[in-house]
Amino acid sequence: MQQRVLKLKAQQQIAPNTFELILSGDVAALAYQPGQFVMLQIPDTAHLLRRPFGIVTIEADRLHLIYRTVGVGTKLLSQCRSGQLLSVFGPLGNGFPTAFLKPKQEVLLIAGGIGMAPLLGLLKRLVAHGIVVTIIFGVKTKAALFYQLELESLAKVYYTTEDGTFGFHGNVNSLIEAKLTQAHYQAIYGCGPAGLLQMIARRYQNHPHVYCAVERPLACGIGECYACVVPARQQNGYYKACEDGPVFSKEQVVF
Amino acid sequence: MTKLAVKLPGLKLKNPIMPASGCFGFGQRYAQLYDLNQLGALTIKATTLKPKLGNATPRIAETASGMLNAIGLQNPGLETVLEEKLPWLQQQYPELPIIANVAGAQTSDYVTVCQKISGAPNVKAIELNVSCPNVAAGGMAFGTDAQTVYALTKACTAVSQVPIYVKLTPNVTDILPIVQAAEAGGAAGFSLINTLVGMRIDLATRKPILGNGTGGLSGPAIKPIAIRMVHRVHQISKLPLIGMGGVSTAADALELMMAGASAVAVGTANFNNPYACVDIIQKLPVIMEKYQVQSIQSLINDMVVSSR
Repeated sequence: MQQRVLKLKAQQQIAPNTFELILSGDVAALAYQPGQFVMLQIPDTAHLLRRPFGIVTIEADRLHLIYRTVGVGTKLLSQCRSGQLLSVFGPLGNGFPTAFLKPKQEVLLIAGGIGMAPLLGLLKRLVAHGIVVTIIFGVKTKAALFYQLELESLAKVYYTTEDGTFGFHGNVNSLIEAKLTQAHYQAIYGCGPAGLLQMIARRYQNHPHVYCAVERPLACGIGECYACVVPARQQNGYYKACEDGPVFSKEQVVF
Repeated sequence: MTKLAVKLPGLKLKNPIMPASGCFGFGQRYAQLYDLNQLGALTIKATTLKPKLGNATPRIAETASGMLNAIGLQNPGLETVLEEKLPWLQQQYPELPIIANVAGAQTSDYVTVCQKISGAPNVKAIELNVSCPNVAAGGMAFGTDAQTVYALTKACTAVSQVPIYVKLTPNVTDILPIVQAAEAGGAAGFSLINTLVGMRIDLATRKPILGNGTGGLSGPAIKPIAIRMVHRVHQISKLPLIGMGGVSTAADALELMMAGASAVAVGTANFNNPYACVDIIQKLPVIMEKYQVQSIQSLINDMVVSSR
């Protein structure tokens, strides 16, 4: 966990309200686990809270992020041009547990919309270790999909759109019901809206390895301000999304 | 004495900068970023008698040049603070003065926590939190009533082994009766300001964004209010002031000291820049030189705050 100033190398829109951001600088030595995140400072004094983004990859001197514009802060970020300097704090939090996996074992990645961002880094890491990956990528409509070619080159991919404009017409749950009830996976990894993560926890309630990354508004990002708490499943209390997460097992929290 | 050093009741500070309560926890994670010995002091997260779970989520919302929070004083409770948090700070940073922020739902809670926490070897002062806007009982409900402030301050100073600074809320029509009540109760100083009550509405749900409904506004947006209130309290009281509210640069800190603060706490700025406190400490001598301030102590000793 360190703070660095990185230079915007490239930024492009890859879907409506969705941007790919490549930053360059002194990041090659940063060890990270897919699922960990960085806090980006918005280059504007009116927006003082850093934005947390799941790391897609860090390769050589490049930090690769994908984010969705939600409010004015992320919109300002999306307007930044090449050469802009951005303060990046991280990597923070805990990534997806993968140490128990062995080559040739099969896993399922379930992404809802922008939830694909951290799972993309996980996908690359898993494939590099010889794990066989199936992906479900659920979005509202065809235009919201991104990186299809890259995904399909690395995994078996199922798409669902709520409006039926591409792939399976319906939601992730109905797709699993229709096509994947017989499949067995060594682990299930998810990231996306709360409803999707709750569905994953319910559907795979007896599975020993179900891990999802949550999204929460953060302030400090390191566990000192108690802003980002997530209700614990077992006892009366909270976990912190930033320090204890953002990846949690389904046994830990109520997604 | 170096040019940054400053003395307040109970506190010999090597510089006037400290993190504000609630923005820095008990320092353990910030200690992974820099040496906490660089700080003038460290104000710990509000501590209550029993562990407190805090408010429903969402607990924060961004605003222009600021943020709302309604954490609700989530903390591990007095026992854990005494057995784990304070001993860790004592062991790692034996020279670092700790200011214990104390909160409670009723007078007896405050009294018990003050009595016990003031016995910790590194706790050099107590910040009596009668100004949290995000709890149903105690907090700001206490700090807006002069009679309550008097009785509570008196009860706490009677049992505390260290000086008590009463943390004031800006959410009052007139701060004068509150200041006088705390003085009469035996306060050694004041810290101010706590956050201002605010709210934001989610346009899609038509309901408040924060789980608590209202929250406390902090950040650069409230700096002028902090300066004005420090200025006001400095005029009506001789007690030393720890100023806070929207400070994010060394110039901000100096501005608050020129309004009458003897020390300055840094809160929300830590979220924008996790190194905010040490950055301010490093730049303070530069800005002092620019405005011909020989030393912080001389600035405070010679302070005649102009009303215009």
